[in-house]
Amino acid sequence: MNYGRPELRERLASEYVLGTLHGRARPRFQQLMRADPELQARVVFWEQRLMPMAARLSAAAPSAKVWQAIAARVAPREQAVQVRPGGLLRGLAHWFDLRAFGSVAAGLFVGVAVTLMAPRLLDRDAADVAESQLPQSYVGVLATADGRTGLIVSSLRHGKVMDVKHVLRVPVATGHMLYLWSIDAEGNTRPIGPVPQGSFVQVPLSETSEKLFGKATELALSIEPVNSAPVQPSGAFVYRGLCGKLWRVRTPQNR
Amino acid sequence: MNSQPPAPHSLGALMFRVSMRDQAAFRQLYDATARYLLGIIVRMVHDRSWGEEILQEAYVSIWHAAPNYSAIKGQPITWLMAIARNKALDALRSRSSERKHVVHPMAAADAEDGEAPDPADERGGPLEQVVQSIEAQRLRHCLQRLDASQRQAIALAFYDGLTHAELALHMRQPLGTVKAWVRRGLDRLRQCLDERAPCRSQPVVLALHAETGRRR
Repeated sequence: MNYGRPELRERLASEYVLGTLHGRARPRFQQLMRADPELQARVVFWEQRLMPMAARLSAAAPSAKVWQAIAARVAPREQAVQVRPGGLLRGLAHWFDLRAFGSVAAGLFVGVAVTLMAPRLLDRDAADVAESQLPQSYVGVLATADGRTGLIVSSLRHGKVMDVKHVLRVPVATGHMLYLWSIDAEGNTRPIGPVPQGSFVQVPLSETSEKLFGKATELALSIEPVNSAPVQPSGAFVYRGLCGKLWRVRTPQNR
Repeated sequence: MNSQPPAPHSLGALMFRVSMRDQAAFRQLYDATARYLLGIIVRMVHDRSWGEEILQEAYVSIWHAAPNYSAIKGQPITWLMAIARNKALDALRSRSSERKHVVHPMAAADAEDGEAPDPADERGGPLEQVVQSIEAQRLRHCLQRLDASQRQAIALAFYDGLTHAELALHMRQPLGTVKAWVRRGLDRLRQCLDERAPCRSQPVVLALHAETGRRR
């Protein structure tokens, strides 16, 4: 079967969401989808189209034992930064901006980073600025759920070192370490590497910053066992925040 | 447990906190949504006890997948419903024996286990506010434009999780006929929904397609 044909991909995505793919077709499609973001996007689109049908169904309150079983299975394995329930607006603004941000993911700098790191830029007409005040860099500002900045990460474009400023201190249990992740526009998480403790540290990168941060729209920090090489976060993101490219990207209009 | 359907924006706030591994927020998300997800699951598997087992699996998956959730994956409630339905479908498909209700859906004592609801019915359902009524109205309008057989096949597949073979058995039609009803029904539904889609929802997905297309 030629899975590259758009009409076949559309039909499979729609029937997967409806539920009529069965037998070996369903697991085969799930496997195909894992490595195919375009197919994932088609499935999300069909979920948005069809799920309103479920609005017609009656609700059914689950018994108390269901939550008890769930809570036992998701109990925290390590200590994470305490997240305050209030004051979410700032953090949410970053998060939901991903919707718009996704469409310009390869594009310009991130407002949060610019506000924090180069406020003068905002006061000037971008067309008048020949070069930025800071060298061309990737910048990430990671925050707690209530919007408190926890970590600032930067790395020169094409660089092989990143600077990490710890704004808040993260308690890390013995035998564990802080670990940095990149998240791309589709929500895929990729490991960057361990982050040492210390108020301001320089960390060698395993690859160039282009490779590690080029597709990142967000960065996140988790706590992992020491000497491990995780491929997915084992549980806790203690901080999460947007990552952007702090340099001028020429648009067709100003060429 | 809160009896009011949760507002979409409050679910978004909860999902954000859950993505940050906030256990208290996860409990609130569960309280706000579990009864709707269980309603979907029980309708599909026709067994409350089994449905609760599937619900448990669904919320464990939700907890683990939450850090990868972003608004680009759709409304939070849509994402949650999709996980619940997929868990129910996986559970149904793992049972090899034919289900009794497939051929005799009206035999069940519980009215909820009867014929699939008419998805084109003008009366709104209990989750209407959560999935945003504009979306539900758009879908209802487009479902009304399908042939009755196409609409019934899609409703039975969606609400009861029937396979093509089970649909053929239930609707007493050849397999090829019901497959064609489903395929043409979904195709017409897509055309109708895309014609009526609000402008703002398109560029995000198109941009995603463009991004991923470049990578291949």
